Amino acid sequence: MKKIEIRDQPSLGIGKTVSLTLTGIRYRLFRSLVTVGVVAVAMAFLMNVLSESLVRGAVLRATTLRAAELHQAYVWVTKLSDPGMLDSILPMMAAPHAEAVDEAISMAKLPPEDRGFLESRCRQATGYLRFFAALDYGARRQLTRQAQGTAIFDALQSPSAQADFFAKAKEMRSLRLPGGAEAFQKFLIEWPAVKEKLERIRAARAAAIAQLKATLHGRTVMEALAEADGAFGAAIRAAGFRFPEDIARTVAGQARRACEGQSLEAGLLRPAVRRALAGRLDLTLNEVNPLVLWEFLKDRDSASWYLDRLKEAGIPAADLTPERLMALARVQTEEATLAQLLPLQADVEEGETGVQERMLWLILVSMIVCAVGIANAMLMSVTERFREIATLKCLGALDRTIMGMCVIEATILGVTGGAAGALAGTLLGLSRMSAAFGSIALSTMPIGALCLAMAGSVLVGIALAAVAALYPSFKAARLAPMEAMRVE
Amino acid sequence: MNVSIAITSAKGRVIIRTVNLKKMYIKKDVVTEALRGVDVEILTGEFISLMGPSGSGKSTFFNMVGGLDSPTSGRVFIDEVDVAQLTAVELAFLRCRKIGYIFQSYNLIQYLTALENVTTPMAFAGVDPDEARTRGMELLTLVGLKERWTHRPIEMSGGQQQRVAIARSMANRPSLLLCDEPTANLDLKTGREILEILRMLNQERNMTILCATHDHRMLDICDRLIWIRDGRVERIARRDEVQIEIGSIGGEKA
Repeated sequence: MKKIEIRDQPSLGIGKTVSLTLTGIRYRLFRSLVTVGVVAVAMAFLMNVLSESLVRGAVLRATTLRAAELHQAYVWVTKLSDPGMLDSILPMMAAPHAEAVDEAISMAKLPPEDRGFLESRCRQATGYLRFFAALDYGARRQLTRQAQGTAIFDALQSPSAQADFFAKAKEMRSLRLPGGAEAFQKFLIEWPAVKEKLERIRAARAAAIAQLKATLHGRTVMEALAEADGAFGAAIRAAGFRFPEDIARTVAGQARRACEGQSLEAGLLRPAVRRALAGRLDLTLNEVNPLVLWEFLKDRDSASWYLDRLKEAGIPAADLTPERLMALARVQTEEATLAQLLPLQADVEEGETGVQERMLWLILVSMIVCAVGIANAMLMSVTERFREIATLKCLGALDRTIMGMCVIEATILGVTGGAAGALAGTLLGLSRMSAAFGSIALSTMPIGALCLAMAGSVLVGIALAAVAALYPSFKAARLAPMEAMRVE
Repeated sequence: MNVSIAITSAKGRVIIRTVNLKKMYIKKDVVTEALRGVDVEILTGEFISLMGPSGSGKSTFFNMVGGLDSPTSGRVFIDEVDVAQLTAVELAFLRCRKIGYIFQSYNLIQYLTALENVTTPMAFAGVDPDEARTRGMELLTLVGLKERWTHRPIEMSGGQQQRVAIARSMANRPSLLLCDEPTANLDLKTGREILEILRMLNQERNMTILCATHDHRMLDICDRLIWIRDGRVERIARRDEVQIEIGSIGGEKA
């Protein structure tokens, strides 16, 4: 009889391990499906939260942009009628729009070498202003007294005030001036020069605005802007503003619409028109307002009817066509929708995913729920197989083969559940969001970010499942076979 | 059969030796002494019956000898190799090729067919799949289940499952077969068939078999009996000595 010699046991090949695991999964199909279901539900939840916040962020960014576009005429009205304050010119100079800075420099006839200096100091200044604004009331009161905005820098010009400020800043341990105290001190020394240049820019703008006023001939700025693509546009450019042709066209169109809209709404002020409209819509006189009017003007018959009423009342807007009225009504309703959406912006901050702190918290919680659910499912599927594991060990399976089987199984379940859940969660989120925002949700859908999030959550699912299976399988693999059989 | 032939054919070489084997189970503060010092020597080619009432420590002894559990103190030598000294990987090697296990509850892998169950230990041993299939079929033929190689455990009766388990235990041509009450879950007739297979393995293939059992029919086929009671060896006797004492009980033919 041969003598027993002990050697190292070879480990089972990957292919065999996988096929053994797959056979096991197929045999326990129902149990495996339940596990997949748990993973899928967890992932769907995570992905739903993620996709909704992604879509919401995209929609709101798009609406903000669109709103800004729609309001260009108003922006120009403001720009052309008010030179602004020091505090509003400062952020304009710090903004990354080269156009505005160019305009300001050339308008104020500042030497071009001032540009770099001015830009960097203005950026610094906005940084400090943001810092002061973010301080809590007590600290701000102590450091800056009553001063607000750029007045803070003015107040700190006197040496005694400065010494006081830095002493107090030193006392507040948690206080961190951006760039450090020395940089701020240096900035304060340079501030009068910066302020002088900003004042020159402001003066130049005031002069340009005064020059434009002469060309208004009694019109409002909005009315004049209706000709922004013509004579008035040239006047704007002559006054020193940067007013490119394409923007001029947009602004002119918007201004025209605004003027026409105003004259149409002016019809409501005539009792005859108002009464007629109220009669037609079956409303009381008080209920007739511009919103009702714009809703009413959406179809052709109503539009031509309204035009007839205006003609009867002798209002000049009557020379418009019904088509024009309908187009105006469309823009007006879009603006109204945007105005409704804009408050939602409070939910969105500037981060990459458009996910706000509250959302991050929600995602974190859902991740934890996921992890617990998956861990539980995996724990169960390993523990209920202790006997099988013990048998395999009796037959000569190595610890690492056992663990490999468990981890492979977890990975397969994780991939399946993760993919199914991510898909379901995304679809659910998208349908919910498109129900809430309409077609704008689909047209602005951030497909790339969504795919990335899906891939990410599938990976998270796999990782969670594998990690959750690792511990119990490690325990099962390390136990002596008989001890494993005894655990039941 | 002639007992003396079986013993002499063993040539007296010791395959299992236990030295003062002790095992305690500690659960919370309750200490259970399952084995209180067992010294046994088993020779190659022997068929040993391990008898004793429930809770006497039979199964514990069986697990210690099979390297399925670690003793609290004392030693188990399998062919003069101290099992306690082996690493996990070497232990796996030992379980895979040197020892075959047969359990009371068969412990087949539920999701594998009869043939796959038999070839699994060969896969662990790194045997070529084709050879494993051939050998698996030979073993299934040996236990009389050639026709049922595609069946899964749930499609087979207890006796058939136990026969698959025997075929599986023989997969890597072990030196030692450990049986833990192999007939306890089976009816009389099927139990006898299983015993017949074990007897055949012992006599025709000269397998060393250690069989923990309550089954008195085992008396007819074993070489020696070891009684265990309260964690100690109560008595060791050769079959011919015992049969004289309880001849009337062991009257059934093997």
